[in-house]
Amino acid sequence: MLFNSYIFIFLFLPITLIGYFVINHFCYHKTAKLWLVIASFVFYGYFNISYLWIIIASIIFNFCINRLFVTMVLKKNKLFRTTVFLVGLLANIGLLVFYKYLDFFFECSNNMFNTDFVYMNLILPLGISFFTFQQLSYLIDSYRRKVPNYNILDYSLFVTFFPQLIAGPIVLHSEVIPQFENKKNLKFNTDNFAKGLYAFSAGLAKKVLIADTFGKIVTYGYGNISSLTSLDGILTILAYTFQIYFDFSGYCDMASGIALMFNIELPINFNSPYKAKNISEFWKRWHMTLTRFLTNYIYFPLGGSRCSKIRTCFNILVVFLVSGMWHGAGLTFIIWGLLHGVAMVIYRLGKKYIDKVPFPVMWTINFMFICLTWVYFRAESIESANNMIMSIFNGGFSIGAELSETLLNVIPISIITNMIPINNLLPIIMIVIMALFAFICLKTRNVQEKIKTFKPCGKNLISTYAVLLYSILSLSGVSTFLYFNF
Amino acid sequence: MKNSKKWCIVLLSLTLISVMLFGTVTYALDPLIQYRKESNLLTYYESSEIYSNPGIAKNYDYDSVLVGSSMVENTDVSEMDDLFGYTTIKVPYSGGSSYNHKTILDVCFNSNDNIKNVFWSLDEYALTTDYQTPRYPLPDYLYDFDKTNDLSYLLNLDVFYFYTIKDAFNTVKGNKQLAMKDGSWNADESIYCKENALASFEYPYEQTESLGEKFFADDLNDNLTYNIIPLIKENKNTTFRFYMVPYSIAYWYIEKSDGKLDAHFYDVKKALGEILEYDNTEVYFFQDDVDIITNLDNYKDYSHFKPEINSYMSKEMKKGNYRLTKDNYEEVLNNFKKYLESFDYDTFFNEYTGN
Repeated sequence: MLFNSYIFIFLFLPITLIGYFVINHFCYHKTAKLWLVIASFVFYGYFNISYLWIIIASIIFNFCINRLFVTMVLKKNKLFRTTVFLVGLLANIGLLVFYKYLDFFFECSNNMFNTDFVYMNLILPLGISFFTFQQLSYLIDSYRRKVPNYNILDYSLFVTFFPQLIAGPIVLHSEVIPQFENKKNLKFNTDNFAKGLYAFSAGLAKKVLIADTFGKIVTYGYGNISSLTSLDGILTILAYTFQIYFDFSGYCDMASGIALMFNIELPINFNSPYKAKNISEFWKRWHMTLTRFLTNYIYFPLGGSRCSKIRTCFNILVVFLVSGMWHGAGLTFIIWGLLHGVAMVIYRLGKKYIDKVPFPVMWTINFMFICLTWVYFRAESIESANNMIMSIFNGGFSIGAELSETLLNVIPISIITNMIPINNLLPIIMIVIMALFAFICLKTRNVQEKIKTFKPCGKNLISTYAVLLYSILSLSGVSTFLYFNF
Repeated sequence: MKNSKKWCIVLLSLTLISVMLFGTVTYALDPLIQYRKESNLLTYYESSEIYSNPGIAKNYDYDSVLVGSSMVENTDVSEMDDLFGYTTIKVPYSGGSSYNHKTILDVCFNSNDNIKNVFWSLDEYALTTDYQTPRYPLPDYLYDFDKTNDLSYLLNLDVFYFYTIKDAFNTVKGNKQLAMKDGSWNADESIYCKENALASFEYPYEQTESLGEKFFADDLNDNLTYNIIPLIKENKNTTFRFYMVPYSIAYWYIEKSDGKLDAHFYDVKKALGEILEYDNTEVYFFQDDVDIITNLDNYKDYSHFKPEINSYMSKEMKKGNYRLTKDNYEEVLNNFKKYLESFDYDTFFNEYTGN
């Protein structure tokens, strides 16, 4: 189930929320947790019920492994303990590899060694990368004796809590489970509910109104790389930069808003990443819980920065290689990860000098680097990514006919062009829109910051109402199409 | 605390009331005729096949259906009805694949069990695209009969902006209604001339080797197996009148230049062979009418002809002319292919272009 669907907004969320607090009201706290776990399974299974068993099996398996760590035999016998840990580690990574990477490995092998592996064409279980990483962190902490003895209900809730289940943030057990235990959180809290509504509405608007609209440009651009003008190319690259940010951070805002309605605070995942003036700062602001995971569970165990310069650089590259792989199975993701890794290494080596560069210059270089690397993230192949970047030099500052048609079907743009009858207005409008969004990303406070200081008042009531209504009425649009011959 | 409570209550009630009000307005005006036949309240000015066709199929009274591509958009179905004695609805798809045709015919047969006839304009290209892919994404919520997803229609700001408002505006202004049933595509006669026909393609075209007969064979097979034959088989009491319309000689020049001629004729022969196996089918072939196809003044581009040709085809079908049968279809197709292969395109186009 997606947050941006009628069934979630009008049915699932209200029922789950009311059920949870009603059950808690009668002091059946365990039942209330069970209610949430079941609701989360419904949420997960709604899309593809056949994958429900994968997450259930994964939870039971991991819970059993973690249980073994606290049994007497494993407490004392280090060899046993390590063996069980490695089995757990391999099983989790194996599940991820099986579903996400097997076809990619087959493809590489078939291309390089002329093997003929038959592709599995498996549908990726929703959020498998997220719930696997979350459980891995728990497994590692459990092995390191840093986890209290949770029961299966707490553990299941920690993994499946539906706001964070399919797209993060990747939470730690210590952040969430104690909050469900806290008596104060078991009662419906209108302050939190108001904040939650505010964050949810803002996130929904970011996803539905902003990201999906930029998505139309992106879909067109990447589908017609060979026929783009320079302006088309630049718009497509920028549009994807904004799409991925508003999509992902909008999702996280919705997640944190929904969690807040249950009185649960999720860790912040995006802190205005496009404000960053260098690549290191970007990664401290972008998908922060993933960065935290990679730092704690890969970078530090490799030795982090407490070793030779060369080794530190190597460690950084490994982390970004894993990050690239985690984001998707394909060479383009590996290239994207490595490009960021190399940038991080360059920054680390030249930090002294780079930090002296004035902010506007450094910000521009950094932002352009991020925009261009997103091209590899989005493109279907390295070749089409290269072509997309080269399209900037195709010449021409008009917008292609098909893209124009698509854009004119976006209501606000349609209204503006109807009101101002000037020829060739569209390129100007688009340049202004891109500049406006760059400004918004750079200069305004993000939703998470606003929640912290949120006080209900008439002004934010009207803005939330407008944004929520506009988003709900935009959940299903009218797709645009052109008439061609035939 | 009290402040938050009030804030939440006001926000939620305002949103809920607005959403319900919005849905009610769309339901009442029903711009995509999902709930009832065109109402008297609104002039249905804005229409697009992808969005209007399922409503027409669900709510009109009819016993005959016309499907096809943009080639039949100009058909005057009232004239067809006078000739054949049916009540026909027109549900074509510009550039439609056979998946489009199957999908809309499924809606028709599911909402009307008295369909006596289907006029099905068959284009070769529609038989060779992926059998599960529409030409443009379809709004599934309009095509199914599932009431639970009606929210996608009722709470749709785009529908409101692009259809409801424009329709309402035209109603108030008293603009003339474009009846959905008879709506034509290009009513302006002046666009049909050889200058426009010639401007729609480049001459001379780069010549490509033949792709071979079976280039599209797999897709063709899927389209016949899943999108066409089952409809004929399952609706034995319906007559399926397939017809193939006359593209200009320029269209054939492009097909030949692209190396597609062998594949094209293989596809058509295979399709017609299978279709003619059934008693409830008839096939009419207008493509080899050389008087029509070599007169470029009939066209606005290399393939689209003027409405008179649509009208001509209706009349000829009624008379039983241009009909292909099991016995003659191979010969007719072979002869036409030979004609196209030996046609002197250079002389023809040079004469036209004045070179």
